[in-house]
Amino acid sequence: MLFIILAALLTIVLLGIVFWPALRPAEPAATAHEHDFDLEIYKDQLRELDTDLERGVINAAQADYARAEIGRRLLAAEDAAQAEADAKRTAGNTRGPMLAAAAAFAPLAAVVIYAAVGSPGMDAQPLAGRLQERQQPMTAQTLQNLDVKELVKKAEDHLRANPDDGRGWDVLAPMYLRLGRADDARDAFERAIAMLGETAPRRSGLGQAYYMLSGGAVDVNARSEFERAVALDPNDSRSRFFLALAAAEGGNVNGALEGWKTLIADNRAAPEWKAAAQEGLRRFGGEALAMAPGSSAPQLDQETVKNVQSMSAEDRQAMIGNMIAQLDARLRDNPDDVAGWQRLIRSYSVLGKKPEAEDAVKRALEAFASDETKHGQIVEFAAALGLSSGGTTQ
Amino acid sequence: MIVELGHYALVLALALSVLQTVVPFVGARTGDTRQMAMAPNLAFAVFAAIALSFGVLTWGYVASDFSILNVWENSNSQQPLLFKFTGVWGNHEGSMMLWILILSLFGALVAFFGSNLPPSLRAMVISVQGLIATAFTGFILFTSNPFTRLSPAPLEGQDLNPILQDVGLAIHPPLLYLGYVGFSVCFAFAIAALVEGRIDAAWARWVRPWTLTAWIFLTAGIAMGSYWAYYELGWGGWWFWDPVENASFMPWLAGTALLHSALVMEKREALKVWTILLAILAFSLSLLGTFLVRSGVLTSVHAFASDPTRGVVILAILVFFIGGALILFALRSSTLSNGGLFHPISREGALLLNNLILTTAAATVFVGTLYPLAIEALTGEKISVGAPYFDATFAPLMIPLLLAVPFGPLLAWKRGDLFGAAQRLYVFAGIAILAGLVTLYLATGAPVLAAIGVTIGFWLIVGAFAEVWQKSGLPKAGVRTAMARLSGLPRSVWGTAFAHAGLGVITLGIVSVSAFQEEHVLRMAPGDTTDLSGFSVLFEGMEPRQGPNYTENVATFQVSRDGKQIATINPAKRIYTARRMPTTEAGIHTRGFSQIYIALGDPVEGSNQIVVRLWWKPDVTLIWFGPILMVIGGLFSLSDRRLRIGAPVPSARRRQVLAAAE
Amino acid sequence: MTRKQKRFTVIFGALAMLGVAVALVLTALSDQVTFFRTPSEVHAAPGQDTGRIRLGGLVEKGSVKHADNSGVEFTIEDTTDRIVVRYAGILPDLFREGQGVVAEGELQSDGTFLADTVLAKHDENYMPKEVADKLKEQGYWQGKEANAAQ
Repeated sequence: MLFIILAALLTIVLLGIVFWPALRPAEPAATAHEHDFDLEIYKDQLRELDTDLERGVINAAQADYARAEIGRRLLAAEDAAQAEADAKRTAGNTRGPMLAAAAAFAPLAAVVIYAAVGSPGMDAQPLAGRLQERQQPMTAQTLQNLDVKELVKKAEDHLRANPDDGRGWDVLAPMYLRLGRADDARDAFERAIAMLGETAPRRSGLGQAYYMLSGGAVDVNARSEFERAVALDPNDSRSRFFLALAAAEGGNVNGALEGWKTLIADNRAAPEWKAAAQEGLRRFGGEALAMAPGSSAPQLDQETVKNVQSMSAEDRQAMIGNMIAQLDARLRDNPDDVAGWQRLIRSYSVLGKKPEAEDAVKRALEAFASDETKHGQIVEFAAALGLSSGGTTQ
Repeated sequence: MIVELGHYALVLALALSVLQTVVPFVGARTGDTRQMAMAPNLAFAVFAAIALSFGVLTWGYVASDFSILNVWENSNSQQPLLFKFTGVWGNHEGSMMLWILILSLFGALVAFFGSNLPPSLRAMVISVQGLIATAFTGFILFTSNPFTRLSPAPLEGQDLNPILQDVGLAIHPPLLYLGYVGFSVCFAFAIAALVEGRIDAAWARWVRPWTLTAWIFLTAGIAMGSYWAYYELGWGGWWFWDPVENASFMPWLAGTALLHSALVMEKREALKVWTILLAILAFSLSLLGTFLVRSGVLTSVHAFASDPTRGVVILAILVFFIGGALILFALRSSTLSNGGLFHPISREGALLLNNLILTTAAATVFVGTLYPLAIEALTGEKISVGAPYFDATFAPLMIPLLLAVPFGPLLAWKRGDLFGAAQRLYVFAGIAILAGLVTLYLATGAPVLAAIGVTIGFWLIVGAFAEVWQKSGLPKAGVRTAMARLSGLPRSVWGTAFAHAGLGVITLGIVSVSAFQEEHVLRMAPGDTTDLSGFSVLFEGMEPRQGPNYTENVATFQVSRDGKQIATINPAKRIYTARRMPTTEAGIHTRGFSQIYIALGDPVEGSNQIVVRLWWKPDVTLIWFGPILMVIGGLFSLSDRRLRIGAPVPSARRRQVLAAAE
Repeated sequence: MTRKQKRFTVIFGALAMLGVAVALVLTALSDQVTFFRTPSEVHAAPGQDTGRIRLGGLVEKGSVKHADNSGVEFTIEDTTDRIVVRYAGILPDLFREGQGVVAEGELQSDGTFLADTVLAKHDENYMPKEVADKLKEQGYWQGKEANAAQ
């Protein structure tokens, strides 16, 4: 309705502008005649000629000749202007019907064409609005206008006072996932499961938390959660997506593609995981043809990034930082993990944190001081990223 | 709702454009002052509606409203804000919206500044503009509607083509379009003159500021596009004779010719028919440019949309306007009276020579651009016409033009004295030849052609100021008199001087780069050093970096000379995450007018080496400084007092006559 | 000069200019035009392409070899034939094995092709137009029509 009012208003205002001169009484005497405009130009040319002559830019003979020429044009224009003035002007005899037809034409044509091509009644859906909509189901109605961070803070305050509120943990856990606070998310999901019992979304959420904790790989922990979730609800989109990803990472690219395809074809599946599956198809489907299988080392978990793309850049940065810190801590405890070190080094260098990256290289080399093959792998890997390996090579 | 309001505004703009075509036309033909008086308001209203619509589309991009198909296809919520804005015209639909926005802007400007035009001429011009707006707004609505909706809105958009994610793109197409579409005003003036059957020296004066405006924007747009291609494509070239470049260059050549012939018409009322034809041609070539780019009939580095149906519709619009204008021209031009006579050696003669050469050059570019199309249509054989063709046809035509340019402004109108002009120029010719010889000497082993080129460049630059010098009376007159005279010179004289000097500067840049540039392609490992034209370039290594919507591998090169470090250059290879599309970011260091240009190739498998392409490009920036001078010249001319003549006040005598008649 | 003479001079000048331009265009078109060929067309008519040509097709998988200097060697194939291309320079960003490509240069007497320009178009979906047309003619390349409509 508002749309119709605004559209009508727009039409009326513009038509008002257009027909304003036709509605005013005409004042023929005030308007100059066609050839008066020419006269202005020629008079100006004559003035210009005089200044040129004064300044010595042209000589007298040239000036005379030009003056004669301009003078002829001036006379001709004056005659024409006089003739015009003598002739009866047709001013003021505006054809009313013609103007009325014109005034009716514009809105009619606009409405007819718009009815054919437009989608009246369809709302704008800016990203910000759509994000809110998606958050709505998992937050209380009254809180819908607050942003995620504030929500989390409120929920945390609430839970600090009432740590036994299982529903609170259940609401908070997915938000932690969004913010990339993987270990908080794991904790929250575990509490929610303990207090409210297991459901597929909780199990698969926990799986995703493990996935993030591992720095972007579907490890054993994550996998078992996803499998548990699928056992609870075979339609759980998130688990289906990640299990396919696990298959792809394990080398079973065809199985993964199959899994994603069925996920996409399933109209009960959640749209965001369909989108993630599309992305997976594109990455593994496209590259599987172009590249040897297995050559695509896991990136800085694109899937997770995709998943939380809706967060602000700052949040995302925080999420990535968190994940890396966790990975870093894990490697301190358990340093015999070449892939882990490589992931850490790559992550630091992708973020432009060169000193940290080189520090990680150093620590990795220390860890593998006795293992020549792994030592070599790290050196090579660092060189590929353009990192110095702390004096061991150059 | 806001989106649909924008959509409705576009539809309303179409309806109002139809009125803008019909009402002022009927008014002008019947002498109805009220209907003529509606013309400016119609132009304002159409502009307001299109601007609203364009604003809404821009809002869609900025707010990442992916329920708009066009926004979803061409942007991404992660894009930096600037590229959300520029993404609006980084695609077919959006760029057409920009096209009509600028068209309606020019319509509104004609309406606004048109109080010095005879009402019927103004009404007719606005009517022709309305016809063009009707055609293109209809084209947008029915074949490439940017407001097509998508429900439900997808989560994430597909991203703007990374090659277009660049500041250069932010300004380049709008400038180019301001130029292209600016010629629509000249076109409208020409059609109006033909319909009204009245064309005289005053007409030329009225058209001149519009031609100048369009020309200034087109010059700036082409130069900007050239620089964009230079640093963004990473090929080190500044002009590729690519169909899309040609598409913008042809209207420029025709527009430049128009600028000069309108001068003859204004002063001497000669070359009238020719000037009208040029005004039609300049805009026709602009339309052709739009067609070539939009239809994708020609393969090009720039064509980002190709769709045969759209191509057919644009072709139909093209045929209608160009064909219609030429038919009207053929019917009416014979009724136009002949103008003043002139001796072949005179200012008019020189300007005519300029026109002949420029239009011939435009014709050779035209043939080269469309020949492959014609051959494919006729024989099915696929061929391409590249730079060698243009070097062999365009360049020889330009040399006599460049040599003749300094003579033009020194020749008198009607009957000039070539010998006298030559006498006044010999000092400047001497300077130019000296500069050429010095170049030959300094760059030992420099090709003779390069020396000739440098001579021509200097000849243009010093020759450009010959008129100014001569008019100052120096050295005979005292400095004070000279200063007084110079400050009293019409601004258009300065405009001519700057524009012609700009041409010389471009020539110098082109000659210098073609003759003296140095290029190396080699593999480098971190720590390697190579020599480039007396510089020593050290490759330090590669480092990955994370951008807002891409990841990149940035290389660091240290440039030094005689052991002194002078610059760090960081070319990069980027991958844009959304489309997983790689691009090359060239690293450029500017030194004086020259540049060191480094582009990265692929890493060599099984080693830490990478293929690197390095250029030393002497004086390359002159190629873009020249156009800047030309634009400055154009602005000088545009600000000339003589172009701003107010509306007449009816004389008292005639007012009495009128009063008596009523 | 009389009025007639003046007009004659102008018209003569214009015609002379036009004549020069036509001559330039014709010579340039006969010398400087590059034909587009696929490998099988080159082999079907040996000896016809002595000057510059554009060779188009798909980059054969596994054929890209980097030589010791910055040169690179790869094979352009169509359905039936292949030609080895040598090129010194930087391959374009979107150059990939299995993708369409156009190389411009000259055929060598040993049957290889020495390219001075290699083009792969910007859009990753985009196949150079000539290549797409030719491959379609040969019934080799289907699909991706949807992409072309973008």
